[in-house]
Amino acid sequence: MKSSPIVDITLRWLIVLLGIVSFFLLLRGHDKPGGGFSAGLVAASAVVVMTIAYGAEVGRKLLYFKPLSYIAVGLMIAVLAGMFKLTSPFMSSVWIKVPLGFTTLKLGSPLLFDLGVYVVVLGVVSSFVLEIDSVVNKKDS
Amino acid sequence: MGRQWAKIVCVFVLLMVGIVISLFGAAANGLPQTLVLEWIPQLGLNVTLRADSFGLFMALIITGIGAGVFSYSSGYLANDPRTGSIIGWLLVFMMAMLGVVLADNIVLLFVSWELTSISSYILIGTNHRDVEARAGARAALLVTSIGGLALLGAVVLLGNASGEWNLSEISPIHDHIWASPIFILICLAAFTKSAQWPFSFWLPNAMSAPTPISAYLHSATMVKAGVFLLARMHPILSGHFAWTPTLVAVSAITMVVVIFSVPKATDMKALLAHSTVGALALMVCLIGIGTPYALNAMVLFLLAHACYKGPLFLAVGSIDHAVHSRDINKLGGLASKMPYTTIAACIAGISMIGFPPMLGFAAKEMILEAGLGYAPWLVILISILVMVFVMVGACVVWIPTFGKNKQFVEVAHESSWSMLIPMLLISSIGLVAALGLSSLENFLIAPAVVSLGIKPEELGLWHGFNIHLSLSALALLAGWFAFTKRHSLNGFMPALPNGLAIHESVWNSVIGFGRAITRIIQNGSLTSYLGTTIVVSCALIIHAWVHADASMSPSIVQKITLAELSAGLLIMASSLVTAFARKRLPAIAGLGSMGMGMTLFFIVSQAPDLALTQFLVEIFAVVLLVVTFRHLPDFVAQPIKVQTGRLLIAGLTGITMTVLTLVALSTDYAPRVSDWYGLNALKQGQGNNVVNVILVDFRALDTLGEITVLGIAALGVGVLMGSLQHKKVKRG
Repeated sequence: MKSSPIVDITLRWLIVLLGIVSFFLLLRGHDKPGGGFSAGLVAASAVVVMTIAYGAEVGRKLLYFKPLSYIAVGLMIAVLAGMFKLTSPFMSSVWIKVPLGFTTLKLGSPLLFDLGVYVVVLGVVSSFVLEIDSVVNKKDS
Repeated sequence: MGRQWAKIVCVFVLLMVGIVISLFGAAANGLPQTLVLEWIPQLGLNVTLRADSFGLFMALIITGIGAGVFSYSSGYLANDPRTGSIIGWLLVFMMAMLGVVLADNIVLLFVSWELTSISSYILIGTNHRDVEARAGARAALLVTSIGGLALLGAVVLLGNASGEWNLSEISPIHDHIWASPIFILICLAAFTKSAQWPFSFWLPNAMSAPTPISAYLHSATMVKAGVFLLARMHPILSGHFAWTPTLVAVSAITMVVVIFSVPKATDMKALLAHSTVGALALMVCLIGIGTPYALNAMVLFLLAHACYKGPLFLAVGSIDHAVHSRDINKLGGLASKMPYTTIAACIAGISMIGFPPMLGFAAKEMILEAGLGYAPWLVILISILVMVFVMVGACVVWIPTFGKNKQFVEVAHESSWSMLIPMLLISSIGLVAALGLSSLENFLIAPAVVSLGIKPEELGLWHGFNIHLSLSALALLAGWFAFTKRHSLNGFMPALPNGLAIHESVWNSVIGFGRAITRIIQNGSLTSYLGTTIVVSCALIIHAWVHADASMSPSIVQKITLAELSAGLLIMASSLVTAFARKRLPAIAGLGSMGMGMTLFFIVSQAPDLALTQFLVEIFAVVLLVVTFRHLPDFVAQPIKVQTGRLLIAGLTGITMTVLTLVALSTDYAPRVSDWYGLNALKQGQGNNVVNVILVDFRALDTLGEITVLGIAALGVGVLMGSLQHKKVKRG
């Protein structure tokens, strides 16, 4: 594929932007619209964009690990997040508040759970796109 | 690495042997150690272990042979990448087997019994790239799990019939109305596990497992679980009228099958497996006869068999390891190169053919006497079986070590000491125990027999010249004669129905039935899938509505705002575009704008979270469709024609869903669960976004289920796409 400088430079910034936005959505999700699912979709869109622009190889490189590993790790995070309070039932939440001066940081096991959702969604969508692309492009060659 | 683990495990198992021996004293005094752990207290179900003498007798065999097998495996499986998993599964199996023999609670007995079946399945299928190994493993699993189900039934009936769930507290129930079903189910369980006719075929086919596994599971321990179960049930069920006839008849048929199968076999492991089936039949037969003398003989024979059949398997494995062949038509003359293997095989072999002064001899004399007390025909059958044992012994011990065929002598080499020591030790137990028969009797056999509720008999190596001694001598001579003439004997043997072939044909017809059903249900037409799904859901909704309260009638309770109206119009217009598009791209664009209409709806109804997610999902859907469709051949536009059936389905769906929505909107649900969520989100969930708090806290388990489904869907897509790629490669 012929590379175009406009696409190259736009994408370089777009990827960074998508990463930041997805992280932003993940963190604010508990209080404002956002959350692990939509944040995961935004993160996956970075992989999708790279795959469409440069092919599956670049998409895979951006992801670094295999999509299936993301799914497995995400599920593991979600399950572990449910086991913070060993004496309480599964999925009981735990919260701590960290004062940062200008604001207080709320950290809790549900946030960790949401991170698990985020990683799973990222893995699932990327694997859809990469798998479909690998089949479709076999046909071309 | 796995090799070192095998040695560590061996030491650990030796410690267990010590623990088992230390428990003997208490058990012999009639005060067995018990251990009760809470399992499911709500159901009154506890893990109850009871170390009585018979259980400990079995546990000693399991741990003793086990220690030998682990040591042997460290040599046999050296350089094998699967060592770690084999050792792990062997350990699982050993624990499960100990559970079977020490369980007092019959539910625990059942669970352990099933665990032995499963670990056996995995161990038989160790060489899972081999078709035969897979078929053998599957046959073993299916047959033994039939028995497992039967045992479950028996356990439930037995517990309800007697009111007790601990074996030691169950009183004889042969007069109970459920005695016959329990008896049948127990027999089914025991006969499948211990490879009795008509289930005997699975054991010879399980021989594709690595030899240490065959030695441990399929001769020394697991296959004896059925015999063990029958022995345990003897005090409870032996009063049943069918006990003796059934057990004796089935074991006699099994013996006949063995007698006809052995002359044809040329694989040493298959020979040993057939003779194991015969030995198990002898044990079942002795339990069936049921006299104190017969049960004494059974316990002694069980020990003798474990002490000779285990080492014989190990010796065969040692030869196989050295020259990579188990065919008796090719082996021979290995005694000079493998002296210690030869010694171990000879000691074990002499015990197997029942030659004095071995334990096998003492056991065989008792068996013949017990058989003589039952019926003359049975003694003749047993003598012929002993003759076949002699043949097997000659084939497995004599041919490879002293036979004339020298083709493998050059490459042969003696095995390592970690393999030789267990062979030599276990086989020499058969000699040492026979020489110290009276102390063996006091320490092991008599307490074990007493704990089965039977009077112990005096064991003796030498009973003088009598009818069974002459029968043994005759069997020995006839066996050797048959061995030398085995090639001509082969021609006289009738072809037996092949159990595995019958099993395979049953299996294939089940699979074929499944395929036929699948072909009807999963016919590959997307239109019919969609049609079925939609029509069935509509029918369910209509059914529910018709049977609901009269108050549930559709009515428009809310005013439609302009924003809602425009979103609705957008959705309608774009669905028309999709339906009537003559090219793919406009159709996809229509779909996308339909999704945007939905997003608009969510925004209007003040659900920003839903809107955000819907928006992202719609974008992805459009992108994926464009990426995929751009590679498809051109869409051949069909002239639009009215298809009445589809029109009906579409109309029905539209009307049903509209009515459903209107009904739902006009029905007042009380109390409203969403109010509770709204009130408690910040208080209990520490969040202002109610939707998110529900997703990650209140209903986090649901979300966990959903993301698991997502992961499974990704796996499914991977498999589907992988198979598509595969097909393309095949086509060129």
